[in-house]
Amino acid sequence: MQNSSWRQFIWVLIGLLLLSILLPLLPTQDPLSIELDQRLSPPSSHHWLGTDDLGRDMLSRVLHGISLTVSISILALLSSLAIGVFLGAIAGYYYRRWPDKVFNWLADFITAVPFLVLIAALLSLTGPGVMKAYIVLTLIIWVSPARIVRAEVIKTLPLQYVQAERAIGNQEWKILFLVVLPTCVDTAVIFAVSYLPEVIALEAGLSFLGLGVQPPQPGLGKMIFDGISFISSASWVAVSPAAALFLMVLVVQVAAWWARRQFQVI
Amino acid sequence: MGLFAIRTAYFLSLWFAVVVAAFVLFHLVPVDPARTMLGPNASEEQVAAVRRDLGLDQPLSVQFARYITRTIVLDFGQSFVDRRPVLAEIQKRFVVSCALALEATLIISVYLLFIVGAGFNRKGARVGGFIDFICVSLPTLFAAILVALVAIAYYPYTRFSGALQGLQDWLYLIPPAFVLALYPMGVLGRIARIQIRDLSQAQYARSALAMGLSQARIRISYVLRNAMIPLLAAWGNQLPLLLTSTFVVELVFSVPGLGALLLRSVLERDLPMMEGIVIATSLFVLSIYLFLDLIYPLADPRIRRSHAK
Repeated sequence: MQNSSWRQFIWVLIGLLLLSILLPLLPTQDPLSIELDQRLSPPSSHHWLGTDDLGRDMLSRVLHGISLTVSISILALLSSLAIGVFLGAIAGYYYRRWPDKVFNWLADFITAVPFLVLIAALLSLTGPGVMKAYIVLTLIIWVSPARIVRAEVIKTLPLQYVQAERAIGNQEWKILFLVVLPTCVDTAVIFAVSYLPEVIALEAGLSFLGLGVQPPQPGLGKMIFDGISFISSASWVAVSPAAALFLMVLVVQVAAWWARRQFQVI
Repeated sequence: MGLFAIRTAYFLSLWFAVVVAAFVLFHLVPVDPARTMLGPNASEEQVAAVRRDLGLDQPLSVQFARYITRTIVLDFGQSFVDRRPVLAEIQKRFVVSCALALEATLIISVYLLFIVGAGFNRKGARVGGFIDFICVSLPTLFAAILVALVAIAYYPYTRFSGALQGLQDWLYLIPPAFVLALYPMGVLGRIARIQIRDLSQAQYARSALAMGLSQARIRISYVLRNAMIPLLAAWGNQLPLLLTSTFVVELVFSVPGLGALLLRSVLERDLPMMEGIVIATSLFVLSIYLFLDLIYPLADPRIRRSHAK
């Protein structure tokens, strides 16, 4: 595998991030302007995706919602990747000694317990917000890349070229972070890209629960939550953000699949 | 049974950590339970009286000791909002959520049987791969709304009596169960397909064929048996998700399950209810993990041997 491939994946992520930040600059209507005489009007040439119960344009709300969801998800993914690589490397280095045991216990604790539920509940009490949604996402998803990096480090440490570095007399931390880790990051980054759809769905779930973007700012999950009340009379209010979510996940899935193909991994 | 004891202790330590974490987190929250119970119009004296009643005026260490001794026996007290005992309410909702998860499991099983059958055929595997891709790409939020729209229009059983009383209630749960099943279907179907593809071409399967064993026999007792192990492991990881990720589905289809209860208690700031739900579900999920951990050696003789060493 080429040395630079994981950097390309990071560029893919950053590209998606930029794209989503630029999305609201499209010449659409103001997502916050309320037109009460246009309440729940069906899709038309003026409002392409119709309007919601306050007469706000759904198209621009959906676009802004996508932008926020994707940027939060990607930022959370990148930071959880950084945490995961660091902790995974340390756990892998101290394989079967106490730091590794603590790591495993912590990872089990986070995955085995419906923690999302607990934290979402608590955050909604103390006052939700975008920043908190981002922190929760990061706290939950760092485990998977960390486990992958740990496994890779355990596999790589006994290899001859690592032993050779030792024989030369390099310091242990230099060997771990400068020699072993660069070869292990690859797998974690590739995994992270294929994990992005799940993170996006998770973020939408948090927003659905009322955590994350706060009204009147448009959040995809919240829009779907609100739209459910009108699902039999004005279905577009729930369907358009849901369909946008689906399309977004589909695009990322296809991109991840293509990237895996391209770099001959999996 | 050294292994049994060690694993049980490990999972108990995880659960105990959840209990402690719940205490710490719920005491960090700047919400006055007494105030929540009485509403904004109550006088200061009334609030103080309720605080004394709940033991909130005691020092934290006393509160913690009381909390631990009660939580260990699953006594979560009464709901702040309607004074109903939390445990009874959770049990009632839990049954509904379990029924939902059970139906989803059935749907996944049927789908997996189909995938396994089609997996031996090249074209069938292609179609399966496509379906898996769609299943994994469909966010629950989107699938729930889509299925709900279709169900409103065409599905005849749209009435739920509130508890599982008759066939009608079970039939009502089929569309939400289907939505819940979609993601695991995609994940497990993919693993099943890859396993079957790789194992069918394994050396031992070929040599069995060369020895003159029938195709059916090779597939069932050689390929499938080996394919079961990673599939079981993945299934074990998906199973708790069926129980804990239901809030979206339950809300969209208005199923009175645990997820819906949690959502309501969050909105109403019902601390004992939230605490109870989190601790009870984590106990349940952890026991599933423990159970799976202990039956792996039974399913795979190789793990059994490595433990014996």
